[in-house]
Amino acid sequence: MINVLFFGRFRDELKCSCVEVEAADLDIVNDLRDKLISMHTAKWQDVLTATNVIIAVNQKIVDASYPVTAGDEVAFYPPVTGG
Amino acid sequence: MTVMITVAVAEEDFSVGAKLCQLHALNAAVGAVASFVGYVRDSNRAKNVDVLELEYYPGMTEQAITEIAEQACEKWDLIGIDVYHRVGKLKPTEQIVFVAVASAHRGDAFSACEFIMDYLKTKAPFWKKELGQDGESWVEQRQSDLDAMNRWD
Repeated sequence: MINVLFFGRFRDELKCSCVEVEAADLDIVNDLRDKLISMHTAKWQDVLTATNVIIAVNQKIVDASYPVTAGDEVAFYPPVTGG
Repeated sequence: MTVMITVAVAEEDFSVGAKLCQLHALNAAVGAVASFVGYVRDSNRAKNVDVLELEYYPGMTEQAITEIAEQACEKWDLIGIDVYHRVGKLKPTEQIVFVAVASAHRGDAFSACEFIMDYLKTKAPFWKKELGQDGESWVEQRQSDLDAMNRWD
């Protein structure tokens, strides 16, 4: 399984902070994103395909072509606003 | 010489005075400590703010701040760095963030402190939500913060 996390505005808009996804048929982050969209409402497509989505795999920022495998932690979050 | 880097994210408040003393006390080569403290304001873009709620990504946030501090060590001659960021629900006038840098001479401390703060604002995974009489809303990233970071390239 892949553990998927959502933060900030994304967590609110998806009404979801984490979800587990079967890793078997997934090669890269974009496959995971497509699977998440296919499993949920249109809102998920709006949020996860916006231009400013930041993706982290195992707590390192990557792009959508980064490989994913069982046991990974993948996070989707909006631009950060700390400080 | 190894730079002493301290990074913490927590709900608890912090004492600026105690933190500055700790940095100064690292060793007798410290000739300068520069610091920045960020506070919650009672309004933002003409909206009243009663509560500022800060969320983070445990583990990744601390690692991101540590990496920013390590970048500062490569750019300037430093002795110690302390970064402390609060999370949870904060009220106007409360302290949010503390960055302090110890070095032999002031130039390194001033520059590194500003660099760390500029990078923290645009790279470290924190998200702010404002709650007030007008409801609640997530704070959007500002272009001026991105510009502040990019000037260090």
